[in-house]
Amino acid sequence: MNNFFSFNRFSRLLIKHSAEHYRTYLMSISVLAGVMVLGGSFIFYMIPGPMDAGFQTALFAILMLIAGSVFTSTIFADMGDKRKAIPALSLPASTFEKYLVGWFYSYPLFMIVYTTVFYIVLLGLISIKHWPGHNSEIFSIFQDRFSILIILFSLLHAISMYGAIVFEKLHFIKIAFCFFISYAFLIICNTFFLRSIMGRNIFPATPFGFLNFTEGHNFYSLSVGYEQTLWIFASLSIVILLFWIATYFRLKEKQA
Amino acid sequence: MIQINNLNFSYDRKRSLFKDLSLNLSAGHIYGLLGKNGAGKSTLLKNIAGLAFPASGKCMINGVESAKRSVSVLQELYFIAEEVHVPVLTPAQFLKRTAGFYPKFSTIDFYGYLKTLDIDDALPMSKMSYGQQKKTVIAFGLATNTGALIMDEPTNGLDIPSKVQFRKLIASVLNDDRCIVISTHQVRDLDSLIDTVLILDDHRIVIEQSVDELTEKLIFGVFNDTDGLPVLYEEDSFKGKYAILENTAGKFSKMDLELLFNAATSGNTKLLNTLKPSAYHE
Repeated sequence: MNNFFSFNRFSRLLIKHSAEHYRTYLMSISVLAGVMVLGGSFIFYMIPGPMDAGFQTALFAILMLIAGSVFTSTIFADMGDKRKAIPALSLPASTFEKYLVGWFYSYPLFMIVYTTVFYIVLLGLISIKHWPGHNSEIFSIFQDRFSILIILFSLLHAISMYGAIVFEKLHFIKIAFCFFISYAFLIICNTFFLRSIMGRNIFPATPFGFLNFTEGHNFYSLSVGYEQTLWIFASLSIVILLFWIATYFRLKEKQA
Repeated sequence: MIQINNLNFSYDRKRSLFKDLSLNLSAGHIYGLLGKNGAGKSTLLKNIAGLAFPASGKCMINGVESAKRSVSVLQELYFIAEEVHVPVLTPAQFLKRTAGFYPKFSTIDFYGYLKTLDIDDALPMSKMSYGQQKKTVIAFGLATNTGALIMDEPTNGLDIPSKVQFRKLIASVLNDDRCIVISTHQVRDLDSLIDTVLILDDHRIVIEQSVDELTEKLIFGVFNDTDGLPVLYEEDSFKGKYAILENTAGKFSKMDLELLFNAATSGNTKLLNTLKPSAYHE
């Protein structure tokens, strides 16, 4: 018997998880659609012209990052409740299969469901409000900028998933709190580091962001080139992978 | 079937719950794990089931460390917690989604146990009373036919007729391949059910004896006067003196589990020394 992964066992676990949680997930989708409809209606009403594809892309990205992080932070909520954790941990399926069910729901499935709901709501809102003499445009997810979104989403997903297993209650609040504290700490460290190698005063700098400083009356802003950007993507991918692996081991070490 | 070797466990550095605890539990027995509130019964059971990890030492099921939670071990183990959680499914739906994880699961047995425990298999479990939820989980646990069945305070929340049914069911599912461990602080619930007594007190197992061994070494009874008798422990009552005597004459008496528990947890060294050497684990 394979104690690490069996496709049959994984399928059975996925079906069991779906049967026991589908009501909660359907409610979550309804809430997501409700937020999109209400927020979208408000934005369509407020802006004095048709919504261009750039604005649609920005809305899609921001809401995806927020909704994805909130949803992922709850994916292992059962493990924080001893009553639910005991049957979940003692169920005869491997830790990897249990981990994969959470990952599948919060990563690929979330992206598919989120994108579908966003497009349905967007098409609905666009069809309601017409601008005479203007052809409505719809953004496409098949554009270069989406690779940045996928990397950012994956990073937040990996961090949220790790927090979902580490914390037992108030997952999203605790994850967000730790994230912002760590991010502020990272900016401070990064700024000190850049100051030391530049040998001059610079503005606070985020990791992999712009390096801004003034000289006399001139303001300079330095950014990495295209090749270095690929290195940044590679580094972030490693960080994402490490968080996903760490989550697996935290789940393996989970006690009830 | 279940082996505990030099188990050390503590929730914090200052207070150790178990110190070098060792225990062997065999198939074909029903073990009653007794202890006061906070003695560590639930923690010991969780250590056995791999749901809590020891600081040092090992808990093994069929020779495999339970803390690894490997599928082969989990398929041979069912743990019924003191507080159960049930999904929003009927017992029949729960069976359909969960039974497949247990290779020896018996659907016929499950429905039979539900009937015995008077549970409606078409009612969503989340709408059942707490006692009914617990009985459904017990029925499922028994039907898994796992080698190790661990129950933490299973009678909490059950009414008196259900406790009677529970005792009958447990007695009926025992076979040579199965090891059942039941913990409780309500010792009377296990009367006439268990065949081996484990009493946990002061970070250790103070008594580990079969009922036959205990009745061979001890006499339980009510006496008007115990002067001149080999009394190990006694309690006054309006009927006389409930006492445990050393069985020097080879007589038989029915074991009074509550009296034995009171004697063991009151630090009665005379009793513990009588039950030595196999009884006393440091």
